[in-house]
Amino acid sequence: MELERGNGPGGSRRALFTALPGLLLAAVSLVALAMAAFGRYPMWPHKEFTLAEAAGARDEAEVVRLIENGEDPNARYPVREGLVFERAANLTPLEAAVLNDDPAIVRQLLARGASADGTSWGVLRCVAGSRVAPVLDEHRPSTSPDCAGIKTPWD
Amino acid sequence: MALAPLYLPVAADTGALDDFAGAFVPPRVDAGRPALTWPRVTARHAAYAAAAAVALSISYGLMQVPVQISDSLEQLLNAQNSPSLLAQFATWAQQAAYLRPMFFAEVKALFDLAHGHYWLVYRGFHALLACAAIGLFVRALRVRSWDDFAAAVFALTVFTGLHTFRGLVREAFPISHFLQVAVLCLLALNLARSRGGWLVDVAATATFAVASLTLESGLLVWVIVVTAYAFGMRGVSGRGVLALTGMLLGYLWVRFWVLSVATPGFDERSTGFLLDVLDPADVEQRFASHPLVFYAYNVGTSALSVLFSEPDGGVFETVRAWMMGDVPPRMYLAVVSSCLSTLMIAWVVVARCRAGLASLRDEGTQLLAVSAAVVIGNSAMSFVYTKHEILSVAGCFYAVAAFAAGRHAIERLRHIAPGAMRLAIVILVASTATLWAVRSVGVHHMLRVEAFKVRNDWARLPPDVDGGAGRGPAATTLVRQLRLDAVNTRVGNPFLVPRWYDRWWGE
Repeated sequence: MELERGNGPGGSRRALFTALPGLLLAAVSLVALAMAAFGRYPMWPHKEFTLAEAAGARDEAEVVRLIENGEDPNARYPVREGLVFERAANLTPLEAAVLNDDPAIVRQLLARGASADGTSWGVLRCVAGSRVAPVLDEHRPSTSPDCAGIKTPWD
Repeated sequence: MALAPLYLPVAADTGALDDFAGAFVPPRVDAGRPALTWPRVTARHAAYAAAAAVALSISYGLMQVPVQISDSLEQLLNAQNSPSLLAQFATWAQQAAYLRPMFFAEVKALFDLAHGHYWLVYRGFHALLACAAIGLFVRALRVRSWDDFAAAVFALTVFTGLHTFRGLVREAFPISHFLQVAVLCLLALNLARSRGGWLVDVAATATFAVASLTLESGLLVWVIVVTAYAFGMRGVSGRGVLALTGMLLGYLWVRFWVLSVATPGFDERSTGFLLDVLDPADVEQRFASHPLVFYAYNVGTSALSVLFSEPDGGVFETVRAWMMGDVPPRMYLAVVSSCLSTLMIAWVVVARCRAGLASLRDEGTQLLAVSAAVVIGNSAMSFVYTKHEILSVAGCFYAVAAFAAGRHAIERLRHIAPGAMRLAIVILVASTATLWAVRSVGVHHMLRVEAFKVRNDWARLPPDVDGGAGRGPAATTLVRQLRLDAVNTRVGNPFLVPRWYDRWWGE
């Protein structure tokens, strides 16, 4: 391509340091758009989650979408490393939300059929943080097990 | 939509079409030379290409955000209930403290156009406005050389990096009327810089009519046209300026005399003051007896916000963060980049003042004058409360001033011998440009966070949500469809990105 000359000797060089950061931004934008054509827009990475992973990732809308699409809120799902623990684990959505101390997700799950009764409630209540504990207390069953010596199902 | 009939005079006047036509005129065929040659790339083409890349990437992000609930759902339900566009216009022609009939009429117009595809139409229109704003901004700069191109690319990062631009793309009610007014104000600048003619005058009056009846900041169209005329831009003729002035007086008469539409009062909303946000009741208690102090504070901090990115919404956020012992990098990034670019602008202003009256009709002086008038006018409009979105037009024109400053810096280097001074200028400009480019990236992070938040807002509504008390089954269908569209939108999760993203680009 034939380029226009800069105005005066060294015109383009003088202006380059002013334009370079913006040009890089434009170039990165173009590359990102090209990647978007293949579903890999870098600023919008999207990962498919299981219901428990969505709960662990604090993705309230994804939790709702999966349940409305038929996912069982009481089943146990694989959760990849880094979302709740440093290792992969099998958790129920409620366990993942309680471990992340996320009251909004816990409320959503309980409102949409997740159940915590008896021993499972006790386990969750024993590991619950300060934000989730009051939410669990609203669904306290008639018996409240002791936390001493409690065994967590994900260990 | 409201801009479509105004495109023709703008495009037909300054040679934009000629420039493109000239770039693609086929060469004479000489023996020994190839019959086809690549088209000539001009600095203007390159500027448009850079703007297009930035605009399209921002538009892509905009299209990932569902239609929001707050300040938006109610407008959609009202539009659904309204029998016609004219009825919507007439109904909303008089409110307690606003005169914004176009605001609501446009919501109705797009609603009728959507035929059920609400997200596509409203977000599509939002994306279109964003592209129009960036395109008109670059066009107004009139890039003619590679030095202009360099300054334009720098100004583009200021345009998209400023916090007021974030306000333009973050929210839509469900139309981003602030963005629309910014587009119309940039259109006014383009008209003022055009070759003129009766079509341009008609376009200017139509631009003012649409802008002023959409939002109060639309009155800045008059400020732009009058200031441009005063400093020698004759795109809008003297007759056009008089017509606009007559329209402004007519607007004021209709608003304050005929319809008795007041201005917002103390009890309108919360606003920042020093290190805190005050509730309307607090504002009333503190300033009822001396409101001018409060108004002066809002106007002053609005101007400072545009020039220095601090305070923010009337609150000295950086100072408060420093007192609490944790200033995130994004605050340093915002304040330092703004201070450096304002320093560059001050430098060119001083240079123009020293040049005296000889530089009064200079292109750079014209742009600086219009920018200053808009910043002052927009800040004055924020006298009741200050907010990013209200200052968005001022932000756009601050970027215009940044173009003049960048151009001046590049030009000055031609006359400075290599040495410490030249090196200092190079470092100043290069670091300023870099900081603004980094700041611009934050728009995408902000859009992603906003999309996540809006989607969660919809997910909190039950699947069997109805349209509200007193509304019929059509409203219920509308709300449920919007909810379904939002919940089924696949957005990125901001909790999955490194935490430093938020430290550098969050809010």
